[in-house]
Amino acid sequence: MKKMKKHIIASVLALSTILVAQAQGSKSTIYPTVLEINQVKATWFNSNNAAGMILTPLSDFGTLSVGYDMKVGAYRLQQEGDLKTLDIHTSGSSPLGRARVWGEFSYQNITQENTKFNTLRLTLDPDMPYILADSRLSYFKKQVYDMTMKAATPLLWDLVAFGVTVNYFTKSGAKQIDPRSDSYEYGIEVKPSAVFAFGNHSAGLTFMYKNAFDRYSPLNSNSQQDQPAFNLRGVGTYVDAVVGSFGGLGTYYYKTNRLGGALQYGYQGSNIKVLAEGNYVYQVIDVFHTPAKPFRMGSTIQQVMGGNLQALVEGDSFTHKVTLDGYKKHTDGIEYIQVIDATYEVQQWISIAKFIRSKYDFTGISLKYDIFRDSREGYDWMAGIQGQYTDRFDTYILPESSFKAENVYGEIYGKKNFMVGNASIVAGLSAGYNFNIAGEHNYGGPFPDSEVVRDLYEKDLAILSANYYQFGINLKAIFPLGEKSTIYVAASCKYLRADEELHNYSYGTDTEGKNFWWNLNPGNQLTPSARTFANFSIGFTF
Amino acid sequence: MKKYFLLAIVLLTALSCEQFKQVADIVEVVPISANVKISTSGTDADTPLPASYTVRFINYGENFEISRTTDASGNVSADGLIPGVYTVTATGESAGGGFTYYFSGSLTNINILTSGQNFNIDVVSSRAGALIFKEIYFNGSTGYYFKDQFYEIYNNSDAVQYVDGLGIGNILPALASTTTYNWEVPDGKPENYIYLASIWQVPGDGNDFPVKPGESIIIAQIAQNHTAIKPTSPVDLSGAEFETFIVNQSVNPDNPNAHNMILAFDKGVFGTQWLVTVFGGAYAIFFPDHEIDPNGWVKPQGRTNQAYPIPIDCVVDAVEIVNNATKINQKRMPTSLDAGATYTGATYNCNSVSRKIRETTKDGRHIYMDTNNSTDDFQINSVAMVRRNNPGVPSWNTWYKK
Repeated sequence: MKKMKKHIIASVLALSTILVAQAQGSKSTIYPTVLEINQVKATWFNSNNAAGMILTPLSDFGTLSVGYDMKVGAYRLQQEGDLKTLDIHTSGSSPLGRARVWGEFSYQNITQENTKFNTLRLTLDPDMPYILADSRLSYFKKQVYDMTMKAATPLLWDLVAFGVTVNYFTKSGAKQIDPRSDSYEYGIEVKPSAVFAFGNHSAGLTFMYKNAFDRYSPLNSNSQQDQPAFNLRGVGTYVDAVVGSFGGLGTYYYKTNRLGGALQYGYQGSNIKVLAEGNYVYQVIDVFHTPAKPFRMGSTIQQVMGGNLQALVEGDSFTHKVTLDGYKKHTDGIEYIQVIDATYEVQQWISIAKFIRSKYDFTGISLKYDIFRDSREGYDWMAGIQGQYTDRFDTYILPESSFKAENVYGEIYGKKNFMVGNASIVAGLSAGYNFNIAGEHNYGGPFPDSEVVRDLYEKDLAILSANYYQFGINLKAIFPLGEKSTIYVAASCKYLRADEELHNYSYGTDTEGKNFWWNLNPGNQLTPSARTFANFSIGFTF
Repeated sequence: MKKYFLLAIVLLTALSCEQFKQVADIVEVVPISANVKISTSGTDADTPLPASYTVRFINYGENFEISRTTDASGNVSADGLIPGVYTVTATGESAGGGFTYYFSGSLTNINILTSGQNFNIDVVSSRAGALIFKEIYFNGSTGYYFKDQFYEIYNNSDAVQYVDGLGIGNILPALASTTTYNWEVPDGKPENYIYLASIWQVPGDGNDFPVKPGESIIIAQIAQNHTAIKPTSPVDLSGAEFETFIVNQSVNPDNPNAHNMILAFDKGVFGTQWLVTVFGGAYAIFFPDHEIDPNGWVKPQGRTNQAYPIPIDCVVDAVEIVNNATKINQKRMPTSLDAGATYTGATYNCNSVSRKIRETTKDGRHIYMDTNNSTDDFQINSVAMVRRNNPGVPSWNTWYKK
C-alpha cells in the first residue's frame, strides 16, 4: 500500500509539473471564476468521452487547494454519520505537444462519527445489500487517494481523435469500536474513447471498464467478548452474525467488474454548442467472506441506462446553459444456497443453487438552467435553477418486503462577482426545497421488531421521505499573485431542516395481519432533524 | 499504438467475462412445497404411537422456520418454503402403561430446492427419563480462568439410576466449524459412532452410586471452591461428587472427598487438567458396551487426530454447544442425538447453558425438557450455578454443604 501511495504521489507531482510548465505561456489572471465558466463551456469535457476534449478544450490552468469540510446534524442516514474531512486537491489542464491532458488528484482524511449499521465498508452504496452491520454507535477513520487523468490526441486527418480517461482510487480505513474493521478499497476505471468531427457535427464513442477490489477484516479489540452483528441482505432482511476471535467471521471481499459504453453526438455552431450522450453500464459485484474457504454472501448485477444533454448558447454578454440528465438503474441481488462438500480433498462451500432474491430500482432525472453575465474575470454574476426527481424502489422477493422513497427537489442559486481593484469577492446564495411524493417500508420478514428494521430502515425511511428546505451561503475572496496566479480563501455553509409533517412513521399490523407502516402526522416519535454543511478552503490557481 | 489499445480492451473484457458468465440466466426465487412422511419402523410394536407429530422445517441460513402437524397417517405437506438447506425435525408424544413416550426424528442439511420433493423421517421413541446433562459450564470466568468447568447430570426419570461406569467425553472436531472429519472405522459405518477425544468414567461396581429421581451429580474439572481461588469465578465445586483429577500432577490439588473419575481414554487430555474448549464442545454421556481399550482409537482420513469411537446406541444423552448462533449449521453431533445446538456467544464471562424445566411434579420434582434438540431444550444463563433449581443431592455425598 505504501508503495502504491508513493507511485500515486510521484505521478501527481510529475503531472502537476508538466501542467504548470505548460501553463506558463498563459498571460491573463486565472481567477477561479474563469475556471468555473471554462468547465461549463467545455461540453465534451463533461461527457464520458475524453477524446472530445480536443473539440471543446479547457483553458490551461493549475490549481492547488486545502480544505476542511463538515457535515453534521441528525438529518442523516444511519450509516452516514457526521463527516469531518481534510481535503487536499490539485488539478490542471494543458496541451502536451499537440495533445491535451487534464488531471486531478485528491487526498482526503475523513473522520466519520455517529455512524451505525456499517461495520466494514468505506464507501456506502444503496444498491449493495450484502454488508455486515452492527448496531453500536461508532466512528471510522478513513483516508482516500483519488486520481483522474484525461488525455486526447489532436484531431488526426481533421477527422478523428482518440482519448482516454483513467481513474484510480485507493481507500483505507478502520472502524474504531468493537466490532471494528481493517478496511481497504481500490479501483481503476479506464474509458478509451474516439471522436469523429464532420464540420459542425461530431460523434463519439466510449468504452468503459472498471475493476475494483475491496477487502475488509472484521475484528474485536476485546477478544474475550464476541460482538453480535447482522449480515444484511436487503430491505430489512438479515441473518445473525458474530464477530469474534474464534468461530467469528473471516475477511470479506468484494470483487467488481464493470463494462459499458457511451455514444455521443455534438453540434458546434458559432455561438451554440449541443452535446447529447447515451450510455449503458453493466456491472457485477461478488461478495465473499473467509478467503481460505470462500462463502458467497451474494452478488449484484447492475444495469444502468442514462442520457445527458447539454445545450450552451454564448451571446455577446451572456452565456446560457441547459443540462438535462437522466438515468435508470436496476440491480438484482443474487443469493446462493451453499453446502459444505465434506470430501477430504475438497472441504469447501459449494453452491448448489442461486436465485434473484431482491431487486433495486432507481430513477433519477434532473434539469438545470444556468445563466452567466460574462466578464474578463469569468463572470460578473450567475444565476441558476434546477429540479431533480428521484424514485427509489427496493424489493425483497421472499419473504416479501419493499422500500420506496420518491422525491422532487428544486433549487435556485446565484453568485455575484465583486471586483475590488484586481481582487475579487464572489458571494453566493442558494435555496432549495424537497417535496416527498411517497415513502413506505413494508417488511414481511421474521423480525419486525429487530434493530435492523426499527433503527435502520424505519429511521432511514423517515429521512428519505421527509420534506425539507435548505439555504446556503458561500463566499470566496480571490487575490492575484503576480501576472496570472491567484490565491483565494473560500467558505460556505448550508443549513438543511426537515419539515415536521411526513417525518414521523410507525410500524403496525392491519386487521388482516399484514404488516405496514403508517404516517403519524403529526407525531413525536422522531424529532424533525437538521443538518449543517460547512466548508473552508484556501487555494491557488496558476 | 492502436494495436496495444485494442489488445488492452480485449484483455479487460476477457477478465470480466468469467464473472459475468457466473451470474447469467439466474431466475427469481419462488416459494416451494415439500412433503414429509413419518415412519416408526424402529419402534416396538407395543409402544403407543402419538396421534400426530409436529414437523418443523428450519432453515438456519435464512432465519426461517415453519411448523406443521401431520395427519393421523403421519403425512404432512408444507408450502411457502424458501428454497434452501433445511433441518426437518419431527416430534411426538404418547402415554401408556404409566409412562410418557417421546418420539423424535430428524433430517439434517437436506436440500429443498424444487417444489414437491418427498422426505421420510423415521422416528424413534424413548421413555422420558434416564440421565441428562442438566447444566454445563464451559466458558470460564474473567481472567482467563477455566479450571471451574463443570457438568451437572440429572436423573430426569422416575426411577433410580446408577451412574457407575457412566462415561463422559467431548467429541472431535473440538470446535464447530466448516472443517469436517471423515472417520475411518473397521466396520466401514462411520455414521454409527461418535468420536470422543477423551473419555472419563465414573468409578464403581454397578451399584455404588445411585442417583434418585430429581437428584443430580456434579462432575467438576477440579472439585475446589473456585470463588476462593479466583474471586471472579461464580462456583464453589468443593461439594462435587466427582472430579476429573489427573494423577501424578502437582499443580491442582486433589479434593479427598470427591471421587476421582477414571481417565479411560486420554488423547484429548493435555497438561494438568481436563480442559474442554471454552468456545463450546460437543459432549456425550454413555454406558459403553465394552471396556474402553486405550489403544482402540481411530483416525479421520488424512489427519493425525485420534479419537475413540462410541456406538450411538450406547449414548444416554448428548449436547452440542457451538460458539454462537451462526455456527448451528456447522454442528458436529449426529442429529439423532441432538438435532440442534446451544451456545453462549462469549468466553470467560461465567455464562453457562442449562435445561429448561418442562414440568414440576406434585412432590416438587422438576422434569426437564429432553426433546433431543438443544436449541429448544437449553437456556443461556448469565452466571453459572451449581445445582440450579435445587435438585436433590445423592445421600452418599456427605461432604456437600448447601
